[in-house]
Amino acid sequence: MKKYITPSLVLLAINASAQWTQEKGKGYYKIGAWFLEANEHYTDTSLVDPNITRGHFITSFYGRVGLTNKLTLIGYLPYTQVYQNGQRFSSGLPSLPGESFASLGDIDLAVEYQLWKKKGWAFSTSLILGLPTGDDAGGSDGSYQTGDDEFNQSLQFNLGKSFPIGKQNFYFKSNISINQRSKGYSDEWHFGLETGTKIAKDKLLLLGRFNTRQSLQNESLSAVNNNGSIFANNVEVTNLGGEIIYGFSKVWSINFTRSFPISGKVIYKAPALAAGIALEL
Amino acid sequence: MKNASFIIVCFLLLLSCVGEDLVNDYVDPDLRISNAILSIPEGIQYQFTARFFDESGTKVENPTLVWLVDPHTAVSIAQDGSIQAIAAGEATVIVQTTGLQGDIIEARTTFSVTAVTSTDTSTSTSETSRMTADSETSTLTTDTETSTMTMETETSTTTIDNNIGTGIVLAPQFYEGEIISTSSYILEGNFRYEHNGTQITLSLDENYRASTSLPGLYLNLGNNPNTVNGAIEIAKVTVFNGAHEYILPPLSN
Repeated sequence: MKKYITPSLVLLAINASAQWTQEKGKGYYKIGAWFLEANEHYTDTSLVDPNITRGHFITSFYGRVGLTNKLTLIGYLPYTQVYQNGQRFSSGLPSLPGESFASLGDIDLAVEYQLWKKKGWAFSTSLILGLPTGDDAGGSDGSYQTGDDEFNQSLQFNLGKSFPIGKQNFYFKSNISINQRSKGYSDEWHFGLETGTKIAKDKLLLLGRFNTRQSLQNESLSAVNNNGSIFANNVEVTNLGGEIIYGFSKVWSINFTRSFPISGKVIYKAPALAAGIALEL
Repeated sequence: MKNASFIIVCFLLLLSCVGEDLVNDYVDPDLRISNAILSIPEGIQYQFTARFFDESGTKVENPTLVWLVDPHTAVSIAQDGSIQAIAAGEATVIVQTTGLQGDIIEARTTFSVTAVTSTDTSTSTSETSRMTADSETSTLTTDTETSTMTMETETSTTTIDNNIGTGIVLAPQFYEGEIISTSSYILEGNFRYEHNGTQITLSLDENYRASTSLPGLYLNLGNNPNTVNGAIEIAKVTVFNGAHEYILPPLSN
C-alpha cells in the first residue's frame, strides 16, 4: 500500500514573528531556504515507521513592514520543491527512479497589531491568512504537494518580555493561536515559546524555541471522504529548535536555524535546517 | 550585496536533492506445489507442478527442480513431476531446488492413494489383503481425509473439473489467514484468497479494519512485503472497515 506523508509547512516563518511590531516605515526582509529530508515518520499512532526518503526544499521571501507604529504587515512567499529518492534493491531488481516537483507554495499574509507595550512587556495579536496558492496534487501520482488547497485563518496572540540577568539582556516570547481550516480539515491550536540573548557586542543573537501544533480533531476529512485530495488531516508535531543570527552590518544579517521534532502524528521525523539573509531598513 | 543575494536565490531554486535509497527487499525464497491433491486412485497418473519464487519474491521461470516421493512403494515419480499411483496408502511428494545462497529449498505435499475395487475375484482378494495390512493407519487417515474432502467438496467444487472421471481429488484452492501489518498504522483482520474457476477473489472478513489517516492507500498483490516493486496494483482502498471483497485479475501460471 502506498503511503503519503504530507507535512504541513505553512506558518513556519509567520510563527517566528516578533511581538515587537515594526516602527512606521521600517521593514525587515529575509530571503531564506528551509530543508527537511526524512526516511521515517510519525504515524497516526505516534509511533515511528520508515518511508522512502522524501525531502522538502523551500526557498522563501519573508517580509514585515510597519504601516504604523502599532500595525505591521507581514508576508511569506514560498517556492517549494518536493522530491522522493529513487530506489535501488538489494535483490538486483530494476531500480525505481526518483521524482521531484516544484511550484509556488501556500502564501501567508498577516497583520500584527500591538495591543499593549509597557516596561519591557509587549502584547500583540496577529491575523494570519493562509492562501491556497500551492499545488495539492503535484507530481506523477499527486503526492508531491506544495500546498493543501484550503484557505485558513489563524488568530494569534503574542506576549513578549525583555529582561536582564546580571549585565546580560534577554528576551522571552510566547504565542498561542487558533488556526481555522476549511475543506474538511480539523482546526488546530499552536503554541510557541522562544528566548534569546545577544552576545559578541550584540552582533550575535542566540535563541531557542519550542513549538507545538495540535489538531482539535473536529473535522472528518480522511481517506474515506478525501475526494481525491491526499494531504493528511490531523497532523500534529512538537518541535524544539535553535537559531543563530549574525549581524554583519547595521542592516544585514544572516541566520542559521535547526529544529527537530520530539513527537508527532502523520509527519516526518527528521531535523529541519534553515538559513537566510535578512535586511532591516 | 544585491548581486550576491540574487545568485544565492538562483542556486537554491535550481538545487536538486533527489538521491537514491538502497532497499533491502530480501524475502525467504519460496517453493510451492501449485496443484496439490488430497487423494488419487491406484493406477492413475497425475502431473504435479511447482512454482519457485526467489529472494526478491520474483517468480523464477523454468527452475531446476528435483522431484522425490516417499514411500516409493506407494507412488512412482518422474523428474517432470508426474506420478503414477501404485499402491494404497499415504504418500508424500517432495520437490527441491537450490536458492541463490546455495541452500536447498523444498516443498512437500502428502496425499492418499486409494484402493480401487475390482470385479475380478482374484484381484479383489489381493486388494482386500493389502487394505487389511494397512488397516490401522489407513483408517485414521481416511477419517481425516473424509472431513477434509467434505470441506473441499463444499467450498471449491469447481476446482475439480479437470479430474472428473479420474477419481483424483484436488486440495482446496484457497488460503485463509490473518492480515499482518508491516507498519504501525492500523491494518488488521482476516482474509480469504480463493480461486473460483478462473476468477480469483480476495475477501476481507467482518473484523477487517484499516487506518483512514492516510489518503492514498492502495491494495497491491505481490510476493514481497518490503516493496510494491513488481507487485500488481489491484485497486485504491475505499473500504476501511468490515467485510468486502476484491476481484483480482487472473494470474498466469
